[in-house]
Amino acid sequence: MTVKKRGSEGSKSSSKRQNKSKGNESSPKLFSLDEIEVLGDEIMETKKYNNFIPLLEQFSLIKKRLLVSEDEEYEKTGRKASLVLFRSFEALHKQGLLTTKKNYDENKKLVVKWLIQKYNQFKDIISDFIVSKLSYESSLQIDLLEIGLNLVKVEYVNTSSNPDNLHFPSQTYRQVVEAILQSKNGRVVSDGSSDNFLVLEFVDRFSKYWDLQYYFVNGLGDVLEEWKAQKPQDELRTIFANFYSIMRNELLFQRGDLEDLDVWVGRPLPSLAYKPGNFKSQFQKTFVTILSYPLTTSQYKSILLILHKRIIPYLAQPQCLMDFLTDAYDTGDDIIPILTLNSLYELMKTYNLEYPEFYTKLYTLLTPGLMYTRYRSRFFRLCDLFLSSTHLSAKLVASFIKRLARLSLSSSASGVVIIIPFIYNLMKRHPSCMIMLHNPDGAKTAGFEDPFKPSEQNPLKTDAIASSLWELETLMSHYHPNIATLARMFKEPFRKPSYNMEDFFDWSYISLLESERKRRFKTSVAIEFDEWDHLFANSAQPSEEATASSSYLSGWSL
Amino acid sequence: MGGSQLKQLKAALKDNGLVGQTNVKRKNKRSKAPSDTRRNDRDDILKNIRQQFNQFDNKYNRTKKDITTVKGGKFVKVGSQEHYDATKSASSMTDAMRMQYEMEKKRHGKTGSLVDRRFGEKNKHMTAEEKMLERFTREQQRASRKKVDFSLASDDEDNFGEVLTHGGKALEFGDDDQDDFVSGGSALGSTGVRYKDNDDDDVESEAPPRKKSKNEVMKEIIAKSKFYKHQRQAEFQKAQDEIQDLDEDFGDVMAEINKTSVKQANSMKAKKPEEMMYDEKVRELTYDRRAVPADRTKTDEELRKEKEEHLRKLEEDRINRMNGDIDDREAQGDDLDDFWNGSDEEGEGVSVSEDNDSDADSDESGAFEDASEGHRAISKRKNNKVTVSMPSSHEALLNSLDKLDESSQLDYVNKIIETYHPRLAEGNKAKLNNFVNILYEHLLYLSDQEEVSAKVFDGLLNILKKLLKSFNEEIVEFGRNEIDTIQNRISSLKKRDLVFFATIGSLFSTSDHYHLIVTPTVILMNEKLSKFQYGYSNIKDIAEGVFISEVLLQYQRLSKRYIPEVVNFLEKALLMLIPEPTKLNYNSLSVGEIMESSLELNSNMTLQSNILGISDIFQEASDELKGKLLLRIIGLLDTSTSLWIDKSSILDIIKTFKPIVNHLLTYFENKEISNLKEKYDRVEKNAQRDRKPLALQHHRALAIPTFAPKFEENFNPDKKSYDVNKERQELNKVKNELKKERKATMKDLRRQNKFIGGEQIKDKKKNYEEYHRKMANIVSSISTIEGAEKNSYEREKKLRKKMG
Repeated sequence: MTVKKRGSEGSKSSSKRQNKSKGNESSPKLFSLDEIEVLGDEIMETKKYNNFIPLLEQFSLIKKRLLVSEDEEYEKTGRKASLVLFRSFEALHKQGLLTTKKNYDENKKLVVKWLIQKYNQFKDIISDFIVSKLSYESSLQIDLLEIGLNLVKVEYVNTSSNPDNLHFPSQTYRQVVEAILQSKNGRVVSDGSSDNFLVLEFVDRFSKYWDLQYYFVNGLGDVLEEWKAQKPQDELRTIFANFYSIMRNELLFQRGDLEDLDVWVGRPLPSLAYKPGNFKSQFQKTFVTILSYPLTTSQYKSILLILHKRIIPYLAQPQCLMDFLTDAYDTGDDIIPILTLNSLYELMKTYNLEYPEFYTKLYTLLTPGLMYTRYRSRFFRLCDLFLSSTHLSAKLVASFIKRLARLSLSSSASGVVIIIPFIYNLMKRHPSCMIMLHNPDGAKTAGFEDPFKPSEQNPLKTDAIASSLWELETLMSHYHPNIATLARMFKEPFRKPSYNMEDFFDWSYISLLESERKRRFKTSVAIEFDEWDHLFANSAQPSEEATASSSYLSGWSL
Repeated sequence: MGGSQLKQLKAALKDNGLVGQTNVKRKNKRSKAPSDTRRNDRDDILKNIRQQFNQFDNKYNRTKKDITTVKGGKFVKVGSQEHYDATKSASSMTDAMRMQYEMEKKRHGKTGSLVDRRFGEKNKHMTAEEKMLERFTREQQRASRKKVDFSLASDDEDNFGEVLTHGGKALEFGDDDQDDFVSGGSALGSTGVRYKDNDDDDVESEAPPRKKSKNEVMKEIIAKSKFYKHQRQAEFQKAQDEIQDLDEDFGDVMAEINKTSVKQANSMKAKKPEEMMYDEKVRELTYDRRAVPADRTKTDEELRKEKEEHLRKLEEDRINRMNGDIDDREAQGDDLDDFWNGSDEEGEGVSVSEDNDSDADSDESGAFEDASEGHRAISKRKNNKVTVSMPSSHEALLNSLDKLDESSQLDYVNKIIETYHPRLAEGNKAKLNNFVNILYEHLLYLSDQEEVSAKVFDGLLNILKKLLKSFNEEIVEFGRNEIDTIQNRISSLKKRDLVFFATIGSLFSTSDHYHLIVTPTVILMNEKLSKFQYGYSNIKDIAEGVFISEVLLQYQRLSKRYIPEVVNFLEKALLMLIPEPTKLNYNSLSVGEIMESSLELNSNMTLQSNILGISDIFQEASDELKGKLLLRIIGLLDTSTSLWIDKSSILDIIKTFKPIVNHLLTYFENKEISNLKEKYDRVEKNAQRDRKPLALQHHRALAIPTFAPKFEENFNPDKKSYDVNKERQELNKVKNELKKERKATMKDLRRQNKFIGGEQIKDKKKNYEEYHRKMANIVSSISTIEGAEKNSYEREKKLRKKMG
């Protein structure tokens, strides 16, 4: 429907410009809109199939032009031609002239064969246009994408008249899918996805229809494998970006019965498409392949972000991700291991994955950089979970506490906000660690030295339990009044059962400022009563005069 | 029980262990002697025994049904002994109170105390003889006064026939005496009359030489006063007569005056200029301020003391604010949770203490100290024809300032503030409110320029600071808006933003626990610092960070609060600047892995300390700038170490920086760096020595609430306490008694008050009733008389009609 509408709009507007286009015909080969109309009508009415040839030839001309610059004239002609071609092929499909049947005679078979060749040529043109990057984002490309998808529908409708023998035109669809994945119309943005307008257009359809999703993953794994062997790295990255943009949203798979889902082709699909196991194994194959692509860090991050929610549930055997995850977890990067944690936890929880020395690794993840990343709340949510067992040894928990306290010495305000209640909860869960806050016997020993080993990697060997949390005492004089008061709770009796960490996770400087902004002016605020002669030191004057007069910032001048 | 009453009494006493052997071992342990349990129960027991033997004193109300009521705070059976006791005690108490009340009422308004009027009892200087004599005189005088009061007879009849006797014979005083006494009295009486009659004053000459008695003196006084009264009356009469005469003549006199009044007016008009001037001078002198004595000029010492006192008070307030003492909002832990889970939708600004407020008020008047003299000054300046107009926007101010040279710009601004002083005209306050914002904007605008005159800048800042006292809210709001603006461009700050941070520090008290504008500014600066990324930042970021760190540390110069972001930044920045950072091997606080950086310093350059310019930040990076920045960071490390020297983790902080400093020393020979190293060594040594494990949880042990009741082995419902500790038990007992006593007393007092109140109301009601009855009686009697009169009048009328 939409295609037709667009087409009619296009023809309307183009008929207005008819006179103009007649006047200055830049290339003798480019047809006017009327001429195309006539050619199309001839195909439909008088079966003048030869008209396909000039029509298809138009596209190479148009492409050449549009690659160089934006040209409305050419675009119009292209859109018209594609519409006319679509209509013609749709009619041909209805007449059954695009499938060889046994009852056709020799002559007709020849015609059908020729027509199929032209049809394939048209499909090739569609993929070509989708893949290649024109000089601007042309609506012709969107048109062609839609025509491609519509052809799938037309083919299915016309071939699946017999419900026992359904046959999805996966060949045609695959061609479109491959074209979209390879499409170069866009850049890889910072979160690892692509801003390709064709992809976005496709995602629009893709997210609604089950058949598009099923046949997307069906058999894609092999293709991806093939590409991986052939293509250069940057192309593979583009493919991944497109793939990620398509797959990052939730699939329809989980929503109820598969047979109730909407389908693009409008008719029931072959029974194979409704078997979850089948989909899962195909999905898994696709993903295992795509994850083996050479990814950028940001792509790594973005796929890891959705891995545990959007991907693992759809896999036939999630264990197959183990290698990928452990590799990612062991990378030296600050952030990737943190993001891996979610998926790893998912695997450990549901699929009994064993990770040797998990806590040692977790301990090493506590780096200074962690407190400044965006993902710290995600990390601490999980960390809270991992340390929630009361059966962990006090030594281990003490190491975590001490390490966190040490980090808080150089942490951002929002990090400190997380650390303080986090430590409180740990203390509450493991009261034997209270010795780090209250060790009256230790104060008597002379020549006390901090036994904590900050560079020790194994949390069981850091001797943190014999140390004390001086860092927390220091934080009691934090510059932010509320944080300072919060830290002061370590001086108070531990009466509260636990702090709700959710209240503390998502603070940032912006939200802190926001809460400051809400305050109203009540009484006049306190004024500095010290006086300085200058705000800044005077660079022009000699230093002896500067010493005679005081200045607020003596090391700086305007 | 048998036997006589006496036998029975004896037996009862013995039974209760009050007589006879007390330490006999009882067969049945139940009935313990009172001496064993409570010795002070003795009275109770005696009372009981007495009651038992006087059965007729007891009153019993026999009830047919078993009813229980509450009497005296206890459930008692109606008609039982307890019921009777409670009722009796209540009624006896009411009786007692009534008696007391009535007695007081009777005595009300009458003083009932005894006054000792005896003479000379306590006078030590009088001999017994003299005392006796004096007493006798008094006696006599009193007697004579009595006589004056009641006797209509002559003075001669003394003592109403009461005669001092001795052994039945009348005592005789010497005749002379008697005569003297009597004749003196009569003589006085005659002289009194003579005074009245003759208006003469030869009293003294004629006065007898002997001592006058009290009686005589009194009479004399009375006579005198009567005489003077008469004289006064005569004078008054005379004056009245004269006034009357004058009144009668008044009409004639006025006529005379009216005739001459025209001439008089003419003479008034013709006042000479000298006279006018004189008048003016006189008037001026009358109203001259100098006529009022001025406040005493304070001595230098007093002034200094006053100033010190003022400063001390300011400092005290500041410390209170720093500790957050005045701000109870954040002092409580529960409130804090609310903050973090975001429940305080509408936060409130923090109030400054009251006296501080009043202080600000007084300052406000002080801020315009020159206003009172300004009043005069302005009128003078108006004569000078200097016109300034209030700029409506920053552009307007800029336009008018552009025409002036540097030195007169400040004068111009001052003039605007003077001309539009709020006291001078209505609406000036609003105009100045706006102008304050413009001024701050201009200050920031100036700082954003390439070339800034430090004199103008500092001058404007001083003006702003003076205005801050009276335009507090406007400037604070401006600052808060500015914070919002800066936050929006946090990743690319301008020069003015950096200057803004510094101005906030010099204008507002940065040491406060919470401050409406300083706190957000600090958060904002820290946000900027936290944006600094190791390995991705350029020299401009470092320079901005160094500046901000410097401002932040300056903010904390008094409150010494800890800023993790600064530590983080300084370490990262150092690691980027030092030559060959990868050679360092240590445990960093802020950086996971040390990388080569593109900004590292050349190892063979010489470092020179110099003042950094803010504008340098925004210029091209040069090696010289890097060197300066490095030294500045070293300086900041020095400052921060002094600032946080008391923090318990200073050791950990030093441990991170020390390797870097050592590393630097291998490349550069610089005094500041080596000084810092020495300082680190010193502080580290001390901190290491003082380091003790924490003991933060010294709290009073809390009892664990138990829900299972305690099982008492020797439970006895009569037993009050099971405390093992004797002393404590005693103490508790006394405490309990005290409590009971207090309660009972309070109850009694309340009851009394209630009773007195009730009685008073009764009395009042009674009085009202009496009054009304009386009035009714009067009214009825009048109306009966009236009615009778009316009737008789009617009768008379009728009669007359008939007659007529």
